[in-house]
Amino acid sequence: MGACFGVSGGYERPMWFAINKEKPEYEYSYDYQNWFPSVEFETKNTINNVGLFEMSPFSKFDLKGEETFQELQRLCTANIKNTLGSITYTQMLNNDGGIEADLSVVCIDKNHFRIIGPAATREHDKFHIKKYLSKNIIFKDVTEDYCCLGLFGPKSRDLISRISNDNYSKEIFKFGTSKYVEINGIKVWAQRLSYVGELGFELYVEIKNAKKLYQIIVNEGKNFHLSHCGMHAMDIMRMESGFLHWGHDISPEENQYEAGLAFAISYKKNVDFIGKEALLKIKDKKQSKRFVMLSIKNSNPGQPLLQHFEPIYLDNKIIGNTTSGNYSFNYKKNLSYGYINTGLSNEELLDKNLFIEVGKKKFSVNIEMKPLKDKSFRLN
Amino acid sequence: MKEIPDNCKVVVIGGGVSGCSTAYHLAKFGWKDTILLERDQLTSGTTWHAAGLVSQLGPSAGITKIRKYSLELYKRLEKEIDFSSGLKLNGALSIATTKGRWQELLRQATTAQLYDVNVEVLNINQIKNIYPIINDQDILGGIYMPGDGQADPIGVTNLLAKAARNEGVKIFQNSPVQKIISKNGRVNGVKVNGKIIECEYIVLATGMWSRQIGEDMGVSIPLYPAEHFYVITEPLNDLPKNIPVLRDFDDSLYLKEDAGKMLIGIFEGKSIPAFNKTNRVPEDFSYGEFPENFEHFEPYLEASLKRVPMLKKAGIRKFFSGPESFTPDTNTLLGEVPELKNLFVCCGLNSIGIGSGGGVGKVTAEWMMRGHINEDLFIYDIKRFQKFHSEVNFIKERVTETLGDLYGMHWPYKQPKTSRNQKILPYHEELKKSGCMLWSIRWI
Repeated sequence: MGACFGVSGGYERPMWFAINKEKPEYEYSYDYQNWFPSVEFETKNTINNVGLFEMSPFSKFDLKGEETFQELQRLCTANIKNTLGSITYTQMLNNDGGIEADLSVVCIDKNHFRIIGPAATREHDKFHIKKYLSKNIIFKDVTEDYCCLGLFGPKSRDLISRISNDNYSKEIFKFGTSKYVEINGIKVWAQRLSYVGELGFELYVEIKNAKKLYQIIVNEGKNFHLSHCGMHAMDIMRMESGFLHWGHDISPEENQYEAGLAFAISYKKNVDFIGKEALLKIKDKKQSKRFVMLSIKNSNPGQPLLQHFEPIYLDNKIIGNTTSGNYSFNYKKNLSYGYINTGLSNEELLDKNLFIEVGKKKFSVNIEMKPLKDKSFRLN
Repeated sequence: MKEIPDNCKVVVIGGGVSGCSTAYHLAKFGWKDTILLERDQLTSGTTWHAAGLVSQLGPSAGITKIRKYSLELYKRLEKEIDFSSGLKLNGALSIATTKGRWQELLRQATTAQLYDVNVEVLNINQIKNIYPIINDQDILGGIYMPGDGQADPIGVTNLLAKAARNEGVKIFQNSPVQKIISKNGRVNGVKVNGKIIECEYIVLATGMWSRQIGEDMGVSIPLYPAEHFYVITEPLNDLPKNIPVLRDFDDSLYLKEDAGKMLIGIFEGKSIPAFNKTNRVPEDFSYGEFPENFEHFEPYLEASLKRVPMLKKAGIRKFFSGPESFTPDTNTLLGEVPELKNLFVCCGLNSIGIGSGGGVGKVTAEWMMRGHINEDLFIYDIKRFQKFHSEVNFIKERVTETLGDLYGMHWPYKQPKTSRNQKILPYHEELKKSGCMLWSIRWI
């Protein structure tokens, strides 16, 4: 019993939780993973009930000052929302249009924004942001000042409504917004978002109150079939939802058009954001490579174990490579992300012979036209 | 004697393979006003004792590109300036004796196709053919890279230094940097032999000294030297001259034929951190070696004799042990540091300095001139680390693991064993004890 820990951004972070009195230890393998039964349970329970995800290592930067909004508009490709509690998903680019960072920006107060990014890229993202910030902005890395617990799943609203008197209804607490709430006397910054594609809330709490909040959630959670969930469950579910990961699926080597992230570019905001000039040059050109989602035909967990840098074939010709892989137990699919370079559209590729090669064996794959999971959770 | 200038655009500190390569590429790409300062003689740090293996395939696209380019560069420069880098490309053979390793090699061979690296999958007969002196008893299979091989580390470095000078770089040996000068959070100059040189950029190509140089000025550079061991046999008459470099990962071994002798090196599971008493590399450590540690080497020597039985009759001419720097994840440190503007690092080569030297210098030059890098090279970016990674307590324990990781299994989802529990969540103990299910009835 217990969590199997891994390291993320320097933190000890649960990767998966043992079930059925198994030992929480990795038995490393290039095939079936001994933690598959755990994440099968964790991911299924999240979509059926509610899962508790540990998200504290995500980097958190506070920016304050009168010009914060304008400077963020210059740093970010998306049109940052300047209304209290609004969250904007965005990328930051370098001058050549390469993707330097993949983040969320939330307006916490007037002239006070928080940037939230991946754990592993904390120093990299901080460096990129500070490189372009003027001295008028007060920048503070608050990553280690707060813990973050994610409550995701259809029962998350019912659960949180039992431990807090704030309004969590879909009419009042809309997707992509955030606000201060109180849970048993503890002040919590709650964001209605989800990297796992479910109804849910990210709860940011000061370190000194984190243990208490954790205990309150776990106690009440017993009434809602709450399960602990680790990093593997989160990584699987973000892939089910079609979300990309900087460092695997995107990097300075890709632009947003190739990555299918053009929705996070705002030309209408009329700000010369960093990288805009480069984007305008490629905007209407046909991209040489583009992002795809694939799944292995008739596959079982770990057969094969999909990772990254695996060749993608159209018939006998390599047309690209994979960037992420996971087995989705919820959809029973061995899922892969990647980039391909071919003149054909997804529709045209539907009846073609596509393969992923792993360990010198070719596996027949389907192209996934859209993410396995729909976005309806945002409306609930 | 050349005069050290009062100012220049770039000062590269360190005359090993990465410093010479960086200086060459900066000048080649247009920043001619670059000088290189070497504390003692070129290669005198760690470059001189490198085994000099060159292999093209790395664990990612970016790394493979760096290694492929390195080899191409050495070939090209040898022709351009008619100077030998001692390249001998008899290929390289990697063998597997466990199922997991065999799967790993097959995955590598598969990935190699993405980067046009020629990798052949061999069965035992084919292995025997290209490496007749091998004991194949426990071998499951192997992969062969016909374009790989070895180079002379000193030759490569001098070749790069010559090429750099041809492009206009001024190289000063016996010029130890006493101080790095900064002004308003950015690089301003260096003090060398009592003289100040003003500059816009500094590259720390200072190998195993980098961590302490950084520490002295509040810059976190996470690497630490560990003792690397190899032996060189007496000449063997019947040792075939054209055999490839052999990597026997499961036995932590590499074997390299060199002028009729065999070099047997190891990347063992638990390595020994160097300079254990002081935690600092002495400033004047040149062409330095450590005393013999036969006890540590013996099990690996035995394994090598089992793998290549004919070595049993060879005497050992040279027992070598010397420091090489390792990082927390066995990947190189490149890029601008967050603490000081215009200070770049090109260090932490994890025993792959000759194989990557050409490429890391090119990437460093491009990174400096462009201000960023348009490649997926986060795996090499120093900014993947945080401050605590360079603290002695962390890094010294971690390198006992990362040296061995070079030849250890690169399992999917592998987690480090050493230097854990750096940052603990307030409810860590609760998580540790909790199963996944927080309630009593199993849901299905």
